[in-house]
Amino acid sequence: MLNYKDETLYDSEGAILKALSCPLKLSRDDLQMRSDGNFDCSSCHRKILNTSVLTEAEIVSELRSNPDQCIAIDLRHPAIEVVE
Amino acid sequence: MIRKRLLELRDFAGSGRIDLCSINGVIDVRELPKALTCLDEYHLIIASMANRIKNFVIVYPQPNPALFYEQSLFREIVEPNRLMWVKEHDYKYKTPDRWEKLATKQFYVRPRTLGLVWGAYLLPDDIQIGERVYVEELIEDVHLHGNTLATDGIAVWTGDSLEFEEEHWDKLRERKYWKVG
Repeated sequence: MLNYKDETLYDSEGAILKALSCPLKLSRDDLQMRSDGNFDCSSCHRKILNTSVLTEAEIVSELRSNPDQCIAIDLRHPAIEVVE
Repeated sequence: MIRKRLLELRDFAGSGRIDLCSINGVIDVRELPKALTCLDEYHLIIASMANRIKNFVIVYPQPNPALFYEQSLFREIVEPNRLMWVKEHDYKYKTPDRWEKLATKQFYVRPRTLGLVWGAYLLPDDIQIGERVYVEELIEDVHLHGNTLATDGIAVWTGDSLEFEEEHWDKLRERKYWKVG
């Protein structure tokens, strides 16, 4: 189970996977869906990885291999727990 | 005089306000003049505007079950013996070795609604059936998420009532779950 707390995604061991730090403070409304199921950022034109269609293992693998990858997280993902 | 104007609202994240820019570009709606919640307001409006506004629609707001929340009163059994109201999701921090629960009570996010029997939206005299209007101050309690209420809305005048377009609130509800970075 991945944990989300204070704009940071952690793996099941508690190690940081990704600190969400978009300087433009984008929301879901600012993203356009691509044909591959990921998103395009209308501001910086980068690909945004849509984690809602990935498994926990796939999310971890993607972020470990490309830590600078921008991501969009749906906090209702069954593999993500929001920690308050 | 009620003027028709283009509205462009900026979204204040978590505020419950509609972001017209992200929903449908800038859209052309007429803003309703006011929402009333007591007879004094109604009489004041009529006196000040020399009866130019005669149309209004009365609503009877009901508490929204999703907006009740529980709090308990805890007493610290060691120094400094504080009393504290605590929300349900924080109960786990008030451990029995230090805190004693005295009472539990239901609260409502918008206390005004509990004492409000009726409210009224003022309507322009020339409003047309099917016309879309922007309501800046909602009388009803519309739940978005958590303890957040919708503060405004877009509605269509049916001739008898204002039917609000839920899709704008659905976008605010959906936004809460997505994080980008």
